[in-house]
Amino acid sequence: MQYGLPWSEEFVRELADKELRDEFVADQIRTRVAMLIRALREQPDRDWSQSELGRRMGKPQNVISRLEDPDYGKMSLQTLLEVAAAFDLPLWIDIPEWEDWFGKIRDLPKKNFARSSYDADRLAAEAAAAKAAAVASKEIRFGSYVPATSPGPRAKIIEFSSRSRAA
Amino acid sequence: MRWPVNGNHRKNEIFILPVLWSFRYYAHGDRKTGIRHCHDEGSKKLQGTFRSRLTTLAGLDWDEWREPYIKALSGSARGLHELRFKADGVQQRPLGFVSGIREFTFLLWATEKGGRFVPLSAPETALRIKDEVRGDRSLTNAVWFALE
Repeated sequence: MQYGLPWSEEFVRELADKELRDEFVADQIRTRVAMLIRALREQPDRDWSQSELGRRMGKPQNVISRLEDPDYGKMSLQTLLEVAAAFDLPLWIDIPEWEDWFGKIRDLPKKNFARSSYDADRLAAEAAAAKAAAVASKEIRFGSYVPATSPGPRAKIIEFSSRSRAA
Repeated sequence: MRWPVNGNHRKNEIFILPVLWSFRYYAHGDRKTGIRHCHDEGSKKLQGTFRSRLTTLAGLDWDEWREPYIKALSGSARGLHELRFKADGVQQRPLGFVSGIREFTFLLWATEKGGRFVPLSAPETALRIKDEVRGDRSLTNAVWFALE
């Protein structure tokens, strides 16, 4: 870790070559997608085989095997949507600032990685709890919702109260 | 640890994993299989992918070092691991071993064609170099690029 940042001076200078940088980015994304699909599939409360994921996507097992191969680089947006839908999860695609991207590539879908499928009751309960907290505090809340990146509390809200903002 | 990636954008706050592994390479390889030589002579695709895979592996625990990213060899090549990636239409198979606590040393750069190593003697040569390296760490250097 480089003085609070996820990149060093050397790291970014070595990626100054555009062709090298493009290949680095492409492989990081291909690898991430492949790891993500496998991690979601192997998540303990799913524990799906490649065949099971394929069945839910209406694809044969060998297609899933290819999707989990970081050397396979021809995945379409439609396929990604179908993968996400099979897990009942949303899809998010972004073209971020480099500062954000360098941080995101260090956030790997590791063994304890877990994402919950759509659950209206859970999501509604979170909304109700947030509303109740806001009403109780009697403060206007300016803030942002930060998704949890590991098991545990689903999310936290970074709060900037009306008082602290005024100050 | 939470590290705000950009102090001006707390909405983008993310959890960042530390680099766990370091990488070394045998510094006296020949022109055909030397790690540094094969890398430097390779395309930008090969270089970018090699750098990317090491960056990824560096952040993973040992039990997550598995196929299709890396594979432990068996049989007469037991004790070696091959990094697995494709670049320039060729299956690249740099060979190495775990040389210390969270340290991996690359020994030589092989490729694979038709289920066989190129050169065919790559595992045997790698094991010989491994013995040399274990006896004299000064035969290796830290990899020449930053992982973060």
